[in-house]
Amino acid sequence: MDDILVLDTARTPRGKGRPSGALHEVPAVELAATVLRALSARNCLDESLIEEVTLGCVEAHREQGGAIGRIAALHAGFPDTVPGLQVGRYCSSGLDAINSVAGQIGSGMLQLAMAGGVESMSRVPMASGGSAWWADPEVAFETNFISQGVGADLVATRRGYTRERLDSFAVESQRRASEAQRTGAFDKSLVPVSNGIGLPLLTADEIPRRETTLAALAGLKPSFAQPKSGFDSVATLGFPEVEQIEHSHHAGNSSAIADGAGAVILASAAGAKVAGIKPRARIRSWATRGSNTTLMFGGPLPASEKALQLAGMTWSDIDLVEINEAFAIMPIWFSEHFDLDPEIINVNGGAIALGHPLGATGAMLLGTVLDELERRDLQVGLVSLCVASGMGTTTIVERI
Amino acid sequence: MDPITYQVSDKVAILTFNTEGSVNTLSWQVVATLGDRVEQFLADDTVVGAVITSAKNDFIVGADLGMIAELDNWNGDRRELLQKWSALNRVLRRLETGGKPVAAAINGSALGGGFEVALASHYRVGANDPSIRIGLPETQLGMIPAAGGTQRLSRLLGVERACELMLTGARLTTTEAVEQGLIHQVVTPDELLQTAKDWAASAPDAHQPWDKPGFEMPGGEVQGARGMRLFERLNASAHATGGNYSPHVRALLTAVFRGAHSGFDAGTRIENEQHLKLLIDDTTARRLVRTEFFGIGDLRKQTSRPDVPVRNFTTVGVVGAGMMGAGIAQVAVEAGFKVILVDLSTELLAGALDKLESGWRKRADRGSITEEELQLRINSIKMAENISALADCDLVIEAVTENRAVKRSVLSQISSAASHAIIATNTSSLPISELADAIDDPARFIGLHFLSPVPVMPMVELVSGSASGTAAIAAGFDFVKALRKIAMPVGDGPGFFGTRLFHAFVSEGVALVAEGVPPAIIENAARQAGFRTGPLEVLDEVSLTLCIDIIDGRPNPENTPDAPSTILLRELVAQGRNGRRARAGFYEYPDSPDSRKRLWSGLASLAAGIEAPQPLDPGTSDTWSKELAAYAGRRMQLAAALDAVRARDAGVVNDVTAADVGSVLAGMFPRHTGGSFSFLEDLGLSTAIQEADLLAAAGRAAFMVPDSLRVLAANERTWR
Repeated sequence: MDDILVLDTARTPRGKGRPSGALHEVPAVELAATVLRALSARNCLDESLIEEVTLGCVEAHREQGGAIGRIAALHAGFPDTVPGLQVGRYCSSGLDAINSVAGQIGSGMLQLAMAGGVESMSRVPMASGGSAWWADPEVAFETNFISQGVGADLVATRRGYTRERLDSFAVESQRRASEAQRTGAFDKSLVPVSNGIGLPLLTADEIPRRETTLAALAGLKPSFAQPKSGFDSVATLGFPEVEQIEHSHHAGNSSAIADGAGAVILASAAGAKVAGIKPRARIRSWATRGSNTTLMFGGPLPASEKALQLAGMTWSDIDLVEINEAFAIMPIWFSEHFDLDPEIINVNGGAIALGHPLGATGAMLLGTVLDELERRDLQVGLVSLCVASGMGTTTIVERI
Repeated sequence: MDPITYQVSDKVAILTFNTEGSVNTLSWQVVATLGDRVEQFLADDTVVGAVITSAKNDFIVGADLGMIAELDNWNGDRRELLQKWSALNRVLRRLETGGKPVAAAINGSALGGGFEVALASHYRVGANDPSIRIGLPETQLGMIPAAGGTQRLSRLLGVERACELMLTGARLTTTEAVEQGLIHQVVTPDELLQTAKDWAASAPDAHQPWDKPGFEMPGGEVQGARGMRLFERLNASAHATGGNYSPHVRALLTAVFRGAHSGFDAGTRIENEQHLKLLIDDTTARRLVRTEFFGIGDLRKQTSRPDVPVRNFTTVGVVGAGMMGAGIAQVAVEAGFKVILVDLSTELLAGALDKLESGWRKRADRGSITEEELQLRINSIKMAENISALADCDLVIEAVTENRAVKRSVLSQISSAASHAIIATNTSSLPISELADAIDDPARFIGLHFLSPVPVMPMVELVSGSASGTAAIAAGFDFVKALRKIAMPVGDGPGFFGTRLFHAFVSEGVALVAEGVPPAIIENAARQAGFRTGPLEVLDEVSLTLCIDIIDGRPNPENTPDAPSTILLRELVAQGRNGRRARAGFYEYPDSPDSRKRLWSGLASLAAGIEAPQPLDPGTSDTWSKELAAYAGRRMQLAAALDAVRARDAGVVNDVTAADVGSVLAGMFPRHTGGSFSFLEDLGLSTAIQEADLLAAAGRAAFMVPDSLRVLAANERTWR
């Protein structure tokens, strides 16, 4: 396999994913084009060399639909020879876009391409496109479908994670994110987003709340305690050892709804040479696995094991980990399962503090971990995201 | 007899249903005839439209459910089956797209397939008779509408309301039906036919809304954002309610979700396929039809009632004003009897009367009974503290506490006070032959086992003791019939039939606790196996001491004093954990009203101290708890089903279809199986025996296989 090189990474700040959010007036195609243009401009890239623009997007419909990779590339002003693709695997879509392009580079089918993801959750809301998974009765019944929030509460119940433990994690995520902002940890990849007449709309992540305290979180009501929804009962069909689900997740210990885009330039050694760009890192391996759909969050465990195995690595080779904070249970379960040092996990906070623009997050996390490896002069980072319906995707990246 | 007559009147064809039997039903032959009549009408140049109506009191009450029974002997040809079972759909589609207007004159109840015929008509007029019911209640018997009903109702009302009506099996009056848009117009019965004829003759548009260009689904597209959210909700709540045994709910929702998004004809194909899948790939629908339609229907005919004249009785005495006595008094008053309620406690009497009156008053306030009916009811019930007040009663029901000595003493007083009355004891478990000698003439003594709560439960076990006379037994039948309940004749014996099965079920739940199975798994396993509640929850409700009393009163193989389950029960009671009323049992009952009861955390260590066989090793896979729950659920079903066989061997029941009904309505056996005997048949007697033998070999006496079952299995036969 050819070397799969990461030439550069970029992302927009994450805006609050609601009408009052700073990025609400910016459609997804604009967010994506902003990042694509910045990657090109920063690296003085000959755009005719771009052989593919693959973007992850979860709610790929309405203004966000229709092969947004191609439409964003066109809107970015790339030559019309540059094709585009949209990929979807729920929350890991952005990382899966990178992995999919990486595979084509590794096999020699591509020499240089961009990959990433975008989501404007304030404009095209979560789940608005519908899905057979939960709406088609045959499928919903077969898979014991429950909402992700109840799935997270189910994991917390089964694993005995108390509300206080989840809240403590959330407070720490907030502290780390604010500290990262203060020390400029995100600056390298950040690309400001401008309004229609070129004035800056947002230059830094909008969501972190430095002032968050355990006491403040303790006052929040559980978000997924809806006994009438039936989800609790459906959960016990799959997990009858659970007498009743403790609803412990709420707005403060779950990922925030957000708008944003992120992307990377990937290339083979030959592609990097022709473009004249110095590579920052190489992709060592990646993997996606599925697990129990009702339990929802088990996927990152086997996906990470497989990725490590493919890279010929063990956990002792991993310097930093980004495990997406979709819900507080995820990083807790992940680090507990692999017995990891909390000081290498989500060192700059995560989606609880920063927000989770679904299709974009995977691409953003790859940039975040690479920037931090450089800051700390470490070598290997592992990025993993839990994915709805029980999947998980992991990518291992190593600095050059 | 011609099941559908064809007459022409004022240029309108009148198709009148008058099928064989007391009500109009749709049999294969009737469907074929309807097809012929529709072609005749469309080809008839002398008519401009048609009216469909009925010569009977009902319009059409649905399919002939004998069709479902045929499927137990189906030859396996799916193509042929689909062709046959889509016949009514084809006829109705031809009717509504034939180009001539059709009106349904709904003179009586139009249910199921009957309402589907009306839905395929372009105009529906109903008579304003309050006894008429309209609806698609198929899901109540585990089926779905399959002659376009899911498709037409969705397109008529929008998917949300359509699903709601079909999932609840709602039966609307014509007034409600017109308000909600199911029918177009309501008129007096006299005007009905003429109104329908006038409409058909007025050359109206002969297209259904869904066949017109530009048709839009009321309430929005089923697969639009709103519909998607609706189905997320419907799927989850239906799945939560029906658990693993809701194939019909799943099929109904699928027919609507997929079908209402399709072209009409594809929609009806989807509906047909879903319906047949239910009927052939799952036993639930066929068993519900056999047990709850035919079985209950047969029981209501009371063929076991002794052939003696009906004895008119007007005054019923009830002794004991506790929950059961008050409940019996209530239903007796509501059935039109004069009731004398006797209790030693004035307080209890006053409380019971108060509760009854306020309940009736609420109904009067809601308008479900008139002010006169309210007064009549209040005047029909008298209270007395002395049994001598029962002198003039025709029937006296003793409903005092479930204790042999107390019952005997009260019965002997009743026997002297009411010298001519039929006397019944309401007991859930005491053999009535052990009480009979308290009566001067045991021939006038029977048992009536009412279930709690009396006003709600549809079944009463009618117990004949060895000395019960035919007049008393007949009176029992007549009384239960007057209450509009189902009399289940049973022989005498501890726990009769219902309590016996119930007890076998809960005992097995306790045995599983004693074996160390996590209690939450047992509770969930029972619900997932189709029991209405978990065994531990319901034991807490009835109290653990009641269960121990039953064990003490009934030396049967499993209920030995040294059985692990018995030891566990006694230990709990010794610790003051007698159930919900003690606010401690298998569950803990928090004082705060907004916290829910929780399984008591001490159960595991209590069980650890009891010597018991080891249950299945669940292993450590992801699905260990699911497998353990399936195993536990099967054990509770099997324990109850085997005891039903023993009860039959002991002569408590005879007819297995009736026993199937009793097992569900009085014994809490999972409804979807069609009852305990159906369960064993569908599991396969040999499989049941194999599973039971393994458990019996491990020391579980509840699973000792009755010889009668082995003989049947050896001969490859069942009871039917």
